[in-house]
Amino acid sequence: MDSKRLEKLLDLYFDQGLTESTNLELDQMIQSSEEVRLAFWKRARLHGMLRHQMQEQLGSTPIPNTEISDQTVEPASRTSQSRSRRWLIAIAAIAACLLLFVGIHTAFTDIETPPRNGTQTASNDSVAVANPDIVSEASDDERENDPSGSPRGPWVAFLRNSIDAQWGDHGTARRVGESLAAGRLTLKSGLIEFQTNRGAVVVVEGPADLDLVDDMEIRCRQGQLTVNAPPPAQGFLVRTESVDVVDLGTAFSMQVDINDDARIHVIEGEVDLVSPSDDAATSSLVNVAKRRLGKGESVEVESPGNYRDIEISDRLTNSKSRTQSITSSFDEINRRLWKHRRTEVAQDPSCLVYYDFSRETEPQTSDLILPNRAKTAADGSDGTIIGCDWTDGRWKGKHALDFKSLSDRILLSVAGRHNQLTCIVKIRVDALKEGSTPILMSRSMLARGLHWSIETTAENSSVARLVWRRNSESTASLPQEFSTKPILRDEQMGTWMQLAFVWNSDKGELQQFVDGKIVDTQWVETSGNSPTGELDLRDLQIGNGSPTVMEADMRPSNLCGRIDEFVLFGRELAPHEIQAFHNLGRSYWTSNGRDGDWEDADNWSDGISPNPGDDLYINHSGAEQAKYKAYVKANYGAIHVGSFSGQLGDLIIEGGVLNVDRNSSFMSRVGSSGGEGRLEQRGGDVRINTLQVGLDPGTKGQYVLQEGRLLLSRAPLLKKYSLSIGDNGGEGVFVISDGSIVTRQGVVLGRRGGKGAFRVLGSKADAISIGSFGAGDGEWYQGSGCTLDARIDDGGVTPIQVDEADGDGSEGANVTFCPGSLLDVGFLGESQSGSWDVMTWKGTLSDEGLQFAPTVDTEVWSFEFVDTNQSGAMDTLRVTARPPHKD
Amino acid sequence: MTDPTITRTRTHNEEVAALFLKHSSRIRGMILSMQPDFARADDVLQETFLTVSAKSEQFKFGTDFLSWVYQIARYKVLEDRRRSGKTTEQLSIASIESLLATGSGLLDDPQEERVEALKGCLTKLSPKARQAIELRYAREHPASEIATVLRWTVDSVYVALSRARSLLAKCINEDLRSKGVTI
Repeated sequence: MDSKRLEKLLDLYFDQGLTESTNLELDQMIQSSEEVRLAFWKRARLHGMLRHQMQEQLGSTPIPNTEISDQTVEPASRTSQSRSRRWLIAIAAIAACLLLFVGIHTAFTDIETPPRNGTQTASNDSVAVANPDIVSEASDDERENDPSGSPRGPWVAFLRNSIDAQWGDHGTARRVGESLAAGRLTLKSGLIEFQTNRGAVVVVEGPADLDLVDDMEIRCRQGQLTVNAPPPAQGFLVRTESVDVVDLGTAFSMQVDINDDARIHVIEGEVDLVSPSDDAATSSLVNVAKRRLGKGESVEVESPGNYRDIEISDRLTNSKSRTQSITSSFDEINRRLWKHRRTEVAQDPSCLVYYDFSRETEPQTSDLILPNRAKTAADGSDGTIIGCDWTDGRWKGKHALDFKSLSDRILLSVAGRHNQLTCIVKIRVDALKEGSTPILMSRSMLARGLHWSIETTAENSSVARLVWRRNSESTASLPQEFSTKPILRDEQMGTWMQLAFVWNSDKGELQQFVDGKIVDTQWVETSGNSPTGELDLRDLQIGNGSPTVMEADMRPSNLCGRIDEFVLFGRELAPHEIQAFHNLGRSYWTSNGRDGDWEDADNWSDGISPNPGDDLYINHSGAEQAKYKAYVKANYGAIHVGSFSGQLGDLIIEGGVLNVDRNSSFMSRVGSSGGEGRLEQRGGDVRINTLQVGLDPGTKGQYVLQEGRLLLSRAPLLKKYSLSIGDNGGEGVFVISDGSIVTRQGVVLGRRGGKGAFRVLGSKADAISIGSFGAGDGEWYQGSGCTLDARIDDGGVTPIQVDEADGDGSEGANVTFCPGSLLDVGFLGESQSGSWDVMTWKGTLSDEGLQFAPTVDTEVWSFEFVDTNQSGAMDTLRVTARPPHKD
Repeated sequence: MTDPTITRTRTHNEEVAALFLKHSSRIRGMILSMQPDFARADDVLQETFLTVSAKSEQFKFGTDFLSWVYQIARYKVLEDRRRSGKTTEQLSIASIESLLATGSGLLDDPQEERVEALKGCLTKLSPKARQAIELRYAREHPASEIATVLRWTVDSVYVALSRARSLLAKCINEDLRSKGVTI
């Protein structure tokens, strides 16, 4: 066997470079020799590992783009379709199974997880789609994430409305406008309204558990329903355990509780109540109606056939007003959240244009002008409204502009050329028009201009792509074009969406987003001598591409729909920022209220207390630090202390209960993105998913646990740590002097070039249990230059226990000390002599070079790994202090 | 401290899903060996998972999980092949079958140490070699695109990638040997 030749052929195979003849050659070699086959598998193993490893690193060690951006780019040169989305879907499917476990957990908490995507805040994590760290983000709401996804089964209804709906584990549609397949649907709280293909409108108030059998039948296990059946849906059937209700063409409401008791009230017309039969075949409508119920009548059915007339219940009769009341409170929440975010957006120094479509502040403003709310708005960047009627936006009281006719548009112009641009628009497209629906268009064929539109596909006008084009530097070249797959469907029309794109000419990369989710990433390979891919934002128009201003040979096109928010940033927003924009779910500590009081709303941005699920940002310190001692029922998404570059954040937890694990994939951070964060826990119970202390270059983070309990309840998918100290070039310190820390999985010091220290001060801490919570094993990984610091007091030192929680003897609970990892040790009080166990573990030890820190007096101190149970494997790290020399 | 809702017994389907996740890197390695196109391999991985999930009841604990999954993955690769047609980039079905008959067990060797060694060895590559590897494996560029980016010829990209792999293989083996791991 010519091993060199074989190696070459194998590599050509893995690099997809085989020709017909080399393919044949390799085929013959493989089939004729076992040795070749073994060599194949060795190479295949390396190939697979490299793929896996590199995907893990993507996002943590960005590939320098300088070379790419310096090089070739011919305008409209070959664009490379990113596979990231496909990978996202693939891994999301895999991650979905993990959610089986996560779901178990979230069901346990009293506030449920809404469908919402992760907020991955470190800038380096922005390549979200391929970073397994945040894979589970994608899987949070896999179905929702996939705007192109069609229902899995035959669809029987579509979602008309959804008000603060907290979905359970079942149901195929999560967004208004999407189809609902036959099957189970669970709703934990909130309201949804769906309409079946036969026209029956069903309002469901959670908690509810239903089966959509088909477009004429549902089975209700629990919940409150109002059914309005127009003539085509006459005979619509709602089955329950105790009664089947047949709508004879009008409206009724009913309530089914978990004991199978059903209460039915007829609002209009009549219904028949039929006892259900055990035999499905005979339980159809041929059964004799046991009771016909007329308008205004109400009965309770505790068991089949047992009908009892009841007084009309407010709850049953007032479902419409209840719906309205819930709707208005939902609108109120939305309005508050949006106002809160509006200020943040306007203050962002990179915000070039912000049209909030608000009319409340300047009623006298001409209807022709759309003021640019950006703090740094340039002169002349207000929008000019041509045509367009004012109308309602996403909620009552929110204004929007309605685009209908060929002349309707907003004109705007921003000076300068822009290497990076993010555009986010809140839009309701009322109908997919065959051809193009313009969103944002440069006037004429302006060099470096852009054209962003929704375009139906040639084959099927009920699905559409988002298409983004950039004009070249000269009209001689074709525009660069970036087109998503067909991701927008007819059913989504008439509903509000958030569309966004992010252009980064340095990377030659364009990303497009729908409702905060990335739907496409493509890039152009650029070259050194090519123009830079700047954008010219002069003479733009929103919602129109008609030939009155475009080149005469352009087809007229205009938007039929509404827009109620539009923003341009002169920078590349990370995917998590786009998601956050969609979520409206961030609260910033402002310290404008009472002295550090968490519960004083004035201390939070816009005077609004954080909502459940929010990401909290604390970037004030000293006299402006935040203090927590409450028993807030809200479970937050994540806490970020010291997350702004160059700023210091300080949070003191004095007591109470603080839960920050509402979304399984969110990570809380103390010190990130170049900021400095300090969290001091002086008491209370704190529960956090995964904690990163000191993340990103130039960052310092410190968590000081002085008393109370800290539980780190999760680990990122496919990762083994719940606590990471010093990560991605950052510096982090974790100090424990009392109380306890319990984690679900491991502790990592010095991940991805970070520098971390773990300090145990004395013997007062009750427990340092790594991997003791839930399933999954602990792990201790200490990188080079990272420090384990143990200070001995009169009682010794609390040992760090690395547990194998499930006791299954599997591979976990291992301890690794990398070369040059440091052990620091000393006394808190008076010097003593003796031996103390600093760490114990149940797995295996991998000591590649733990050594004393330079400050340790090695005349006094020594350390050793000990096999305490004579198992043949070391299980304890022990330090010993000799009595001082007596000269 | 325990959480009863988390430590409750997992269902059979959940256990199978967890096993799949645990071994997903190996399963993907297996698929990549039969389908070198990353994107298509990822699609096959996804479909394999969906099938494994749907058929989880067929798997009995105590039997060989990976060989069961490999069978499904193999079928999915062949199905993908039928759909998209064979290209010169792919091996013949006869070759794939003979490969599966011998040696695929190598993928099942414990990988943790190997992965750790790989991480260390990657840092020892020359900057250019590492960049080529990154462009290939992280950014999924085919050789022709790497050639454009790095201003090399396509052939020199193939050579660079091949050399980088050989260096990595050697480095990993040395690393493992030094730690007393049987290779």
